[in-house]
Amino acid sequence: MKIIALVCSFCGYSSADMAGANGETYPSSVVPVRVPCTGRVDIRHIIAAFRNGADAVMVIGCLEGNCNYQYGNIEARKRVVQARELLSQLGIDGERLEMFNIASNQGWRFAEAAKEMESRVARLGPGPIRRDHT
Amino acid sequence: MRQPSPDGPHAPLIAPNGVAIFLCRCRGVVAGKLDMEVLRDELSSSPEVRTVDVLEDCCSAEDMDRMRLSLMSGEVDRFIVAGCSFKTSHDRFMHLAKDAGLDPSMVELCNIKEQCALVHPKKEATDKARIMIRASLRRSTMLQPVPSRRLEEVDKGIAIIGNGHSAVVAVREAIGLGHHVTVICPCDELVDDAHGEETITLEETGFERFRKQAGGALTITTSSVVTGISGVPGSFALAISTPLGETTVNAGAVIVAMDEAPVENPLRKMLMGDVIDQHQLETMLRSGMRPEGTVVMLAMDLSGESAFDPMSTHEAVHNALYLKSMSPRTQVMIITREVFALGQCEHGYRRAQEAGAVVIRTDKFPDIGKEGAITIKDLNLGHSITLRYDTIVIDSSTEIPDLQELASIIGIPLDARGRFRRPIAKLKPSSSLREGVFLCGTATERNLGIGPGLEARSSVVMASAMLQEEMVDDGDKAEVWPEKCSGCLTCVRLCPYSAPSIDQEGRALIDVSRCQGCGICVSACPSKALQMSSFRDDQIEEQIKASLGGLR
Repeated sequence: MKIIALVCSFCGYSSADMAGANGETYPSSVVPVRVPCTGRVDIRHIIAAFRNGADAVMVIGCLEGNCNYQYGNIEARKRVVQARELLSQLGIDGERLEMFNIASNQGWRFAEAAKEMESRVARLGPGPIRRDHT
Repeated sequence: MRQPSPDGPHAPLIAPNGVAIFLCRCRGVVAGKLDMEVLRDELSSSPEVRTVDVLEDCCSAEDMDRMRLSLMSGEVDRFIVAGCSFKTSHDRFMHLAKDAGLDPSMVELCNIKEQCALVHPKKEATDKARIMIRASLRRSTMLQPVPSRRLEEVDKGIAIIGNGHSAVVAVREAIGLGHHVTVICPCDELVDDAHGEETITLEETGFERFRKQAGGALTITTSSVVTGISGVPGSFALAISTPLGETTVNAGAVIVAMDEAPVENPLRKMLMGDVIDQHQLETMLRSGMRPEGTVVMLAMDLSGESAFDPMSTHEAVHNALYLKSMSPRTQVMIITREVFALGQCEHGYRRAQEAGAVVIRTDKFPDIGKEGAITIKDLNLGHSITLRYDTIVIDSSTEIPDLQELASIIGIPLDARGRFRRPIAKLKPSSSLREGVFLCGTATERNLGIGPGLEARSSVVMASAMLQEEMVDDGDKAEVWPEKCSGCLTCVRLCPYSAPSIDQEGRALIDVSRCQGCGICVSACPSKALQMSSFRDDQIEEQIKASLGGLR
């Protein structure tokens, strides 16, 4: 199983750090990829993840109203909504993509989000590429 | 100004000379979970990798020296540290790169500690670390030098835009710290209207005395407005319009210290009897007088809302404590929807209650009866109570000046109430959304909760600290590829910092002094005419691909 977590350099990345520092555990299939702000996340990055074998993609930004760049996370959420629509047109279940807003001290929420995505993949089966190749 | 590369931001990547990888055992914390030797052997076989070293503790002076020596061999132009969080170690390894003569933008950090070793069992952790380091390696080989420019001469001057108490406090602090200060005051007189403090005004005595103390370090221009601001932190030029004509003020840092103007609280006309406001009460208390009999403080407006200004409950709590400590037998009641105790005020709130001040929570404006009776719906009791009072204290009201024009010129947005918006106060206290511009004054979003005087001093200290440092403009910024730009205004509308504009040829132009490198515009650009050096689309996509283990 492969899950890409696109994390912003502020709360997203720090919440993953905090999950580790606080002794949380989550599936090792979740691999973080850092971007400056979730506002930098482009639909093409999400598509690239699915095209290269991701089973799910999570986008993790700061709490709404707490974005280090004012409203990058709001822009990201809009794009995630658009991307979900695009994915379902491509025959990929929109539930494989999710936006999370997690504060930097909420390591437990990062771990929960990771587990949630894993259970979704377990329910939906392998992603489009993996399904076709195995 | 930084020059974008002539090929545009989509220029072909410069091939790496070689990559050094340092694997940090983190004194056993990482090494206890990951098989470091296996990782080393596997990574050594990659063609770009020159050396892979397993070190005990990359943060220690000894290992930093080892890394420096290894990097100075001339074989590599970039390196990866696989160890702890980017958040804690980024600055340290940027400096290491500089010391070793490498470009600090070519440093890549891979978090195999918090995001891997600490959260997964042994085997899974090693597998994930392998993938994460390979993804970092992919990213590292694609990193490009970020153009940087060192400011040769930092202007130590500070320009203060202000109209009242906060500006006066800021001036004193800045002069005290040895800066040249220019005050740009929109009113015809700079007045310190705060009660109980020494005032300086442009009237002969006060102003002359303060100016003499400051020597030539202080210039005050009144009835002046800022019409433009250009340059970068450490070297700003402010265009000023004064009654004597246009002029330019040069300063390294800008402090915006606009205060709200006091206005009469509309409640005063409606209430009978002994009504004073919190300012008047504080002035009374400072001069040793105290109000008659039972004191009721109405920390709310007519709609029952106390939240129109959190500072008003601060003032009420502060004055209640002051009054109780002067006269413990005086009954003091604060009627409010909710006490906003920010920062240090939390202690004051507790002490006021310990001293016997009573806080009554209500969500409706009370009925004020005749002859000193007041009926309140007490939220805690769930029913109405009637109290007798002798003195009623209302909030001291203020009015936010019209800041629209100033805000758009400086490029810092206003909040819904029309005050300057702050970035996240916990991370960047006293900063504004524009680098090199600092905020204080009561016409600023309330986040710090330390009171206007301390906020003013804090902003000066932050500005002063910034000016003491070597000023390097080296952040990753958005870059335009003009041939691709169709001038659609998407970036102009989306940027939180007003960095993009459209030039005369109809192409986007990024003001690098305003750009903070969030990348919101880069992702939104429909023509893909914008890129960032360290977060290009191809870099992100390749890192994602490598993070998936190259399945395809």
